[in-house]
This record gives sequence, structure tokens and C-alpha cells, in this order.
Amino acid sequence: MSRSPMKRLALVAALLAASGLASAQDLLIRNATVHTASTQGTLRATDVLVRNGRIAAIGSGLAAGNATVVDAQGQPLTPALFGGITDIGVEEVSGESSTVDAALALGSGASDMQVRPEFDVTLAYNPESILVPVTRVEGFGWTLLSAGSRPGGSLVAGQGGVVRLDGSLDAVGPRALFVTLGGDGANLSGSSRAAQWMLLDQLIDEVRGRIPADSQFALLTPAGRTTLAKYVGGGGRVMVRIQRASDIVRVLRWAKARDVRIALVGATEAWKVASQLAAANVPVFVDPLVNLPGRLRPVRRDAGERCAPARGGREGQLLESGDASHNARKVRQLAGNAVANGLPWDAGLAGLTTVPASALGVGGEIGNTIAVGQRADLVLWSGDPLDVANVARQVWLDGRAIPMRSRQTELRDRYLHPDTGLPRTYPSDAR
Amino acid sequence: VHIHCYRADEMAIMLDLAKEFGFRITAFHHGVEAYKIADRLAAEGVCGALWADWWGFKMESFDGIQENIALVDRREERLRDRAFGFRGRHPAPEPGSREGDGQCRNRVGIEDHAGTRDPLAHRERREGAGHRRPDRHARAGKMADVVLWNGNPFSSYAQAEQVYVDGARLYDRRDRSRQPTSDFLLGQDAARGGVR
Repeated sequence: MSRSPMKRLALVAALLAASGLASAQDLLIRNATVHTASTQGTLRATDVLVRNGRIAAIGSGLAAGNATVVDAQGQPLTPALFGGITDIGVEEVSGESSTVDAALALGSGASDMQVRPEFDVTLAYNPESILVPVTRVEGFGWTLLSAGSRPGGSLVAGQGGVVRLDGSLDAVGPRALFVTLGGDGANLSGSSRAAQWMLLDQLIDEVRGRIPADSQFALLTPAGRTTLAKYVGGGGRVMVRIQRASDIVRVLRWAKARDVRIALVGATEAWKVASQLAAANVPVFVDPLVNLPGRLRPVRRDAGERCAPARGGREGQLLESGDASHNARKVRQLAGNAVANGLPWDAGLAGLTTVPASALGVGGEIGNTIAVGQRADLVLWSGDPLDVANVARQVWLDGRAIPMRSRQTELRDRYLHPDTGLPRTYPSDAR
Repeated sequence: VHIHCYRADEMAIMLDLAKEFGFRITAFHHGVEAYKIADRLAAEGVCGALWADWWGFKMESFDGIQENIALVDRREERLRDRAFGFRGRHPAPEPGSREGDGQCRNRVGIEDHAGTRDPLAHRERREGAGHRRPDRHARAGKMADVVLWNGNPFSSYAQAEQVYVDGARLYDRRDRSRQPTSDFLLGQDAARGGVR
């Protein structure tokens, strides 16, 4: 199979010409290696039929009817992947603060903590961000937007949510509350991680009425109390950014005692307490490549061990922590690195599909397995999707063929051929 | 002279200055827009120390594309020997990750052997060590700095099995006696009380 861009573009052009972009059309993908991301495992030489944006049949020799037919030539078909926890559509250029809406600080500094759990970062999401197509053409269909805070904000940063990278404006599924604990949150808790437990319990006392709303110790607005109440007592998912093993054990105890459903983010030392995480059924979002010591935090295990929560508790998912938004596309490579170090391949794919969808409560909003009735969020790959050497050949969201173009492919194509005549800024057919 | 520079217009200005004041630019570092002036870099014999994929962290890096190295290095425009790969993320990942190099290779069809050969060839020119370090081929007379891989070194699955420097086996995935521990990590495990 040629991987030349011209051939890939020709394929896309053929798909678009055959289907028309905007309308949901029926689609038959023939002869794919279907990685179902379900208990069905991998199905070889299999057809997938899509009707009205959902998977209608999986089998061999399926009748196309009026459906557009794509010959997969045996190449891998997967659900559209999870891009990790990012600021896609909430941050355009990291260093330009006017383009970044990801973190809140209403107070004047570290000694002025403003706690606003009602902050909902998804209200800043711009589906026209250039990061959306840049990420999407690499085989990613959805991401979890995170809420962050800076000094003047709080260790309870606010809420994020899942967005589909299909151009839609609104987040789908439940919101998730983001909390930062341990060393990463020390500048939000009076310079000591010990104060974080005191502050969290103070907030819970306020939600439960032990601290009256008009008390001098009250920290929340009425909207904040209402929001936070949803996450205490087994309600919504609380995403806890945390690294150190001892902090993780404490947050497991705290969450159990207060009946809070947590997931861990970062969790560089989760491998040390993998069995406790599995027993507590706590999802963990880890970056398999973070194995170097930082901030006097020794971390040294191979990628497979760092994914031990994924192996033992089937609740690990993968995360690019270096530059999550612009390089979200690297997450599948991280999955491959984890597989090279012992994570089963199926667990690697699950960490980018079913596991995060389940942890975030969006199984019905995201096509995270290839099964009859699922939304047809699909990717056809040039080869093993967990190996960086392969590329997404075509992405479908709700059965619609997504144009495999982004600002970056436009730049590539402008400079692909030698300069002739007029500068490249002029239309290519006029040069 | 090595110059850190992202944008094509700024690289062009530096090339003009080099001509006017008579100094030679060996390489532009990071160079996310090198692909826009690949022909000029080739004509003037200037290297690029380029990221495989890093982009978007500031306006200067907004036009980064994954094909940057591939476009600067491709065969059909006789631009060979211009670019070498640079790691794709901070902090440096574990040895053997080779961030993104495979990706840039595939987009415009650079062959596998070019991906491995050119980073070596250009590193030696960049470091001025071409007479000693192994270049595009391991060959007689070169110092024995070699890596034994368990597969295609650009695959996400590849691991370095053995690393030799000057012919000495300094790392071996299967031999604990060849797995060094830094001063910083010493005693971290032994002194750990354990979280039970």
C-alpha cells in the first residue's frame, strides 16, 4: 500500500465525491481488520455496514444497497480514538494568554483562594480551533477538556467535559470536576500539601451545611455549593491530578470515606499502589513515558509497569502529558510504547477507547467500540494504529467521512513542490 | 555558527547576514519553518536540527508540520543531507522512544534507511566529528558507537537491546550488570518505607 500523500489525497477525494460531505450517508467498509475494542476482539476480513450514522451490521459479504463502498484492503479499522485530557479548542497558542481559556484565577494571588467549582471550561470551547482538524485527521474523535487553576484560584479548579471533534459546539455527557492535589497543588493550598485535606473537608462541610452559607468560613457561592454537591455522595466523576504514591493512598482513603467517585490524572507513581487502585476500581490516566525524576520525585519504572493499573484493574487509560493539546496525536504512540513494555495490545487500544468512555460516562455519546448500534466513529489505518509509523487514512464521525485536511496539511501541500513563477501565496492553478 | 530560529523569514535574514559579514551557519535549531526554505538551505549547505512534530506553543512555532524534516531532506529535490531529527518533546523521554521520527518519514515517503542514516551523518557534521564518529554507514575505520535494536528502530515497539560506545557494551536490556543507576536514584528504592 502506497503511503504517498497524493494517493492518500486521491482516496479522500474519491470518498468525498462519492458521498457528499455534509449529509449522513450509509457506508459499507469492506474487508477490514476490525479491532472492535470489545469482547469480540479482532475480526479479520470483515465488513462493517453503517446506516444513519450508526453501525448496522458486522460480518462478511454484507450487501451494500445504496451505501458508499470503501475497500479497506485488509487494513485496520478501529473506533475513533480518545485524544486524552487536553485544552483542544480552549487553547490555541500556549504562550499567547489571550488565546488560552483553560485555567481560572479570580483571586489576586496565592493567598487569595477563590473556589469556583461552578466554573465550566467547556463554555470556552471553540469547535473552529485549528487544533480540532489537526487532531482529528490523526484518528482522534474525542477528548476530555480539563479545567485548571492558577494562584488566586483553588485546588478545586472547576469542571471540564467531553467534546466530540466533529465540529459540534457543546460538550457531551456529564461534566467532570478537576482537583489538583499533592506537590502540583501546593501553591494553591498555602504552600503545603497537608492543607489540601483540611480545605477539601472544609468545602464538604459547607456543602453539607455544617458551615452555614453566611459563615465567615464559607468559601463557595450558591452556584458553587450546588455544583460541588453533585460530586459528593457518589455523584459525578472527580478527576484528581496527583503524582506521589503516598498522596494517592490518602486520596483513596479520603474518597472512600466521603463517597466521592475519583479518577487519577498523571499518577506517575500509580504503579506502586496498582493493587489498591484496582481494588478501589479507580480509573487512572497515565503517560507511559514519564519515567524520569522531576521535582525531587523519583520515578523509574518501565512503561509496562507504569501501566500496571491498566493491566491489573482494566481501568488504565493513556495520556500525553508533555503537550497534551497540540500533540494529542501522540497518544497512540504512547500506547505503543506501553505495549512494547508489557501492556497487552488490546489493553492499549481499550485505554484509548472503551476504558476512558466508561470512566467518563460517555459510552452512549462516543462510538468507542465497533458493535451493532454504536455510533459510527471509525478510523481506517495504514497499519497497526499503535505504531507511530502508520497513519490514519480516513476518519468517519457518525458515519460522515471527515475531510482529511487541516491547516498543517495545507501548509505541507503548499510547500510540497518546488517554487515556480509566482510566490506560493497565489492560487496554485495561477502560478 | 549555530542559530536557534523558528521562522523561515528569520532564517533567511540570518543567511543574508552571514553572507554580508562573512560567517558560516552550520545549522538552524528547532527551525519549525525550515520546510518553507528547504531549497535555500540546500543551496547554502545549511543543516536543520529539527523537531519531528513540536508546534503551537508560541506564535513562532504556529506553522510547524510533521513533514518538516521530510520536506527538507527529500531525495527528489536533491535536498539530501540537510536535516536531522530532533526529539519531539520536553522533557526527554526514555531512551529508545525516538519521538515521531517514524511519522515524519511516512508522510512524504522517506525510506527507512534514510531516516536512520541522516540523523547520524548530520550529527557528526554538527559536532564537527565527522572524521571519527560513525556516519551514514557503520564501516571499517569508524569508532564503534552502535545500537542493537529488537526491530525497526522507528517503530513504537522498538527497544534498544544493547548500546556500544567505542566498542564497549554500556547498556544491555538483558544484563543487569550493564544497567547503570544515577547518583540521584541511588537509595531511593532501598530507603523507601513503602506505602502499604
